[in-house]
Amino acid sequence: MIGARWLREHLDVLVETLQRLRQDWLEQLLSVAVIGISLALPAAAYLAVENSRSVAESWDGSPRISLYLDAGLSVEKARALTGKIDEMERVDGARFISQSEGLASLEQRMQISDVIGFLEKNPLPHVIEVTPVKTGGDTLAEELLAELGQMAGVERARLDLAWVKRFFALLELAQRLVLVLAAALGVAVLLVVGNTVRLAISSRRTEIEVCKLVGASDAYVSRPLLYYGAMQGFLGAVLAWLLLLLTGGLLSARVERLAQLYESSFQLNGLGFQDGLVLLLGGTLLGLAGAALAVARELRAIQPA
Amino acid sequence: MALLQFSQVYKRYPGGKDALKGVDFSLDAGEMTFITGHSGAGKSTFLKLIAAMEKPTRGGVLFDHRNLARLRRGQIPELRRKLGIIFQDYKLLHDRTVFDNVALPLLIAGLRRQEAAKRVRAALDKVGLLGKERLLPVTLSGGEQQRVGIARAVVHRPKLLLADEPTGNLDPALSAEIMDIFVEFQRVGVAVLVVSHDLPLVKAMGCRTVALSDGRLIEGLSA
Repeated sequence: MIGARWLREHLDVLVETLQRLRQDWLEQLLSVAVIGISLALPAAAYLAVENSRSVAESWDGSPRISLYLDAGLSVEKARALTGKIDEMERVDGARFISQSEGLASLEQRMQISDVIGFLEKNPLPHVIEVTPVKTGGDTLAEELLAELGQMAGVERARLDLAWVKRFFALLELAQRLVLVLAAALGVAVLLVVGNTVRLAISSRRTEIEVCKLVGASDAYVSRPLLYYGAMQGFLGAVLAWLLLLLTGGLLSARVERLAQLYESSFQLNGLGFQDGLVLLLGGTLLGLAGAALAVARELRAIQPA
Repeated sequence: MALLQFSQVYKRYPGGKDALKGVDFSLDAGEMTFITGHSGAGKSTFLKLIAAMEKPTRGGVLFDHRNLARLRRGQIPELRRKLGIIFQDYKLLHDRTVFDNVALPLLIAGLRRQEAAKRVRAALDKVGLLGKERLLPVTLSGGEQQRVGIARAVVHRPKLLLADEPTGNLDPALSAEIMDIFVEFQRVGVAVLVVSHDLPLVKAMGCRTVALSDGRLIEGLSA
């Protein structure tokens, strides 16, 4: 019984709040826009980090050693060397990329066949790509690097590990920054909603006084204000979602082209349904909290006199 | 058993002004009484104590077996739902229709709009405003606005009707009409307490009258 009445009262207030929002929608639009942008910024930064991570994860995280061979070395000798390295205990696999294969791949990737046509001879060396055994970790990879660098026929050895590590460290930093940004802008949303609700309270001061005089409890008077704040947060979150969709739509074609250039099938990931719900819920709760803060501070002070 | 009982009530405001100095007063259920007195004599304070807008500095105010001096904040709404308060400046909500203004106490008490509608119309009928439910208060005359205020004060069937200078802004003919409405409510068992400095009108009503003078209460029509 009490549950039904409670539900009905809340529904009434919700309807009343919506009507009020519709009445002065232009004023509402401004604060909703501020809330929307404040929510969209950290959400966009979060998406950027998540997308970067998925790119980075598609690069095999294991270290890889590239051996650039002496320029004069014949293909046969280079293949023999590849075989020898492949046999080594600490090597998982070795792949031979000949001079001409390297050039062909470069041509395809960069679409610069005209330029290459001008070259009298292939400037690239033969390359052996060595994957160390996975169990060894970084130290093994570095030891292996030194050993392979000493071998006859190898001009230079390079370990492609450092920059992947650096990239992941950067991502972690970016993630922290997103959290800080989200916290700061969350506080901004609290303040914006708190302020609009404070204004609403002062513009409805007489109404609140009269309601209190005819027996309204604090809960009754604050209910529409709390709904008002929650609704603003919710609408702001909806706007933020729309902004993200719009941005994603504008960027996705470009990103796909970029990915194609890197021979990647990477696609820009927008806000998923679940993340979107989290955004809506978060916006609503922030709005509610902002309203609650304003109500707690202002409402007690309004007493009929 | 008295509905309302003041015993040795003192009220001193911050700053040292004594508004009430040892007031004893009692009002029975269904009784109608006028309170007169000059401005600054403590009439407003007297009403504010009943509506729990102020607390007595000393003494007890008993309403419906409850000591208002000991009322907690959360208990005030329940008290006010037993009162109907009428204001000199009407205190209507100007962005709501007459119907919504009158329905306010019922909705606050948790009634559904449909349930409230019948009682709102009955209250508006009693004050002669049936058919004006959909209008906004600003479109009504002063006397009509005051009658909307009265309808709002009685719609939830209060035990006590408090009126603070209800005819202060009205001409004598309208004032007499308003008083007649009060008498009708008193006949159906509502206690009515009217603050007024309109002595000729008060005399004409022939009800019990008390006077407040410099914070003290005197029975009868004394100046």
